[in-house]
Amino acid sequence: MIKNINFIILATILSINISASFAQSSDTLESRLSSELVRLGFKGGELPPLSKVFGPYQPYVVVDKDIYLTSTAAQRPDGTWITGLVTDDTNLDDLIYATELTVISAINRLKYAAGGDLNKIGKIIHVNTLSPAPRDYPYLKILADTSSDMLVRIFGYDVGSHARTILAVTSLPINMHHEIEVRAELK
Amino acid sequence: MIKFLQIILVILAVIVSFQPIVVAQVEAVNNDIGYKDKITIDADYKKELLALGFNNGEYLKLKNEAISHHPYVVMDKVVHTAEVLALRPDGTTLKGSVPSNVSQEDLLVASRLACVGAINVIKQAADGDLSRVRKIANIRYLTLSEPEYIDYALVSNECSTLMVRVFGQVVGSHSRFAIGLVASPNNESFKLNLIAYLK
Repeated sequence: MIKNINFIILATILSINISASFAQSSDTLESRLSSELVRLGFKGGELPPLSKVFGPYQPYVVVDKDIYLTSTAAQRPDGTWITGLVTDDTNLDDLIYATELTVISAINRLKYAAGGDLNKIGKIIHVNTLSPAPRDYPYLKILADTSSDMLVRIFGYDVGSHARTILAVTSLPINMHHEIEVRAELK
Repeated sequence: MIKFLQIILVILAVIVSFQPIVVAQVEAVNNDIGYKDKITIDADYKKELLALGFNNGEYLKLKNEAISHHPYVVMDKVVHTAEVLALRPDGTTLKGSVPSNVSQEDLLVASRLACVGAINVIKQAADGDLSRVRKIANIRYLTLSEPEYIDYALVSNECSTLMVRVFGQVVGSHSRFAIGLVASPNNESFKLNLIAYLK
């Protein structure tokens, strides 16, 4: 009888441990990123391969702990770019989707800059939102909030919260639809 | 038997002829990757200045008239420059928006002019010694433009390649950011600012 009780106690402790470890694994940075990727239509929740840059510059520069990303644009899961100016007729949902894809491109570069492990990112310092929008475009803040919320959702509040700038520009290189520029720091 | 020897001879000839090419490539890569010394950087910088028409390959001597802001700030060996204008050797600048008031060709020259101006600012920050620059981290290109213009990359490339030509691949290659402005102080067509790290 006593042996049985011991066995039951052991089993409960084990099951608690197992469930706890499951709870942890469902809330890692990778799993949060993976669920965002699945939601946005990336197959298998995997980051796409890093796209080549269009000129004599680097996709990112790391000096000591400081990471400087070249501004990233919206690239669809199939590798094509979302282009065109933002107008008053642009569907806001499409624009928000483009913004989210832009954040994914930035996170992809951050991963390479951190040597393949996003957990090494210590802080997202600054995010610059660039939108080729008309003068009186009312939804710039919504776009910036989309990228800010997404970074906090994926990296958590301590690492992902950041300072930011919102700019409406006349147009962007290669007619890009939306861009963000990110500065971050390694742990 | 003779055919067999011929084949071996051909193979040997191929190997021998390829070897010097391989060696030459490795040397070129090594030269690109290594840090450049002060004399080489100064010579390459002077070459760019002469190509743009600066007398004796020397950049203009500028007076800082603004009280509230500086041409650069150095903090913990990180140099932040103010916006650098594309000053021509006679002190004038390109004005107006692209493409209706300013041509792409003028803008390409303006990009190189602003670039040598920025290197001049870094030189001041590094006490006159460009070999003290450890890394050009980030360059922001600002172009006064209209919505139909999208060739920012070509304009930025002029300065990006110039940076690599002067500082070499390791120090000079950088991340960047190019946007079109709706308006700009004094109607300036092109300017840039950058962040650099000193040794």
